[in-house]
Amino acid sequence: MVINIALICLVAATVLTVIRLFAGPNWGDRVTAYDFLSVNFALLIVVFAIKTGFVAFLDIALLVSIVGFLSTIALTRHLLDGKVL
Amino acid sequence: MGRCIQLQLRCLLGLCLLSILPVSFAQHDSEHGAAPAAAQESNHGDHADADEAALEQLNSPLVTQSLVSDLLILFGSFFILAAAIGILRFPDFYTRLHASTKLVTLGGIGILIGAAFAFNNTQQSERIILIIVFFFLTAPLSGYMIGRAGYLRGLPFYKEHGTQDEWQALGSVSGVVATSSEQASSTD
Repeated sequence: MVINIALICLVAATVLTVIRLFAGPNWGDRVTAYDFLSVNFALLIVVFAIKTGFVAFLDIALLVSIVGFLSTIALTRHLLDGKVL
Repeated sequence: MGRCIQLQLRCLLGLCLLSILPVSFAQHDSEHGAAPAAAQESNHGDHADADEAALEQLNSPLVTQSLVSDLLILFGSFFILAAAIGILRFPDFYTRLHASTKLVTLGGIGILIGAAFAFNNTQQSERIILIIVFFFLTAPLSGYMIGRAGYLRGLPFYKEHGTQDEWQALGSVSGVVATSSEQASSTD
């Protein structure tokens, strides 16, 4: 029951953030929305691991959060300096 | 300053790789090491108590939701939803970034600690603690990088009566901002 409420909250957050991702006036809003979406997806996977009891989702959540962080850093460095590393 | 951030990024990349490694090794051990050991013990017949304990651990349900984990997961998901509403409703890039970064840290830690309480086995809880450490390391840093890039590239901010840019009002800092933005515009 609580897990379903948490899933509904996370999916509603995803929908609201996708609206901002498409309607954001700047690139800054889009990068912010992307960063939030990656974290939100990792948390959704963790809650789904609790719901199904399938443990390998936790490793997937760790990998998703790592990839989201690194791609956010790459995006900001590209948009600031024109180069990534 | 750029060199310092590059060093920071390299340290974080190393931390990412280090955090992947023990998980994969633990999974490798549990797949290939645990099953033959259990078979040998059952052949000897001397460790019946250990076998029964292992069987109980296998047959027990993986997830038991207690009151603590329920409350923590509700807390975290409420704050994640509040962060999404803040991203949608705030008037400015910087305020949206503020809502996203702060509330994602709070809500994510709530959901992850609730998940660590919900799982019965200690191995899964250790993995979730690894994710928590990674969140604490990376969420403020990504927010800082996004805000820095947006400010140095000159994204407009929401102006009410009396709003002023205190960072640019400092004389020595505005030179740094101007030169870095000139460099950024020259590379385009």
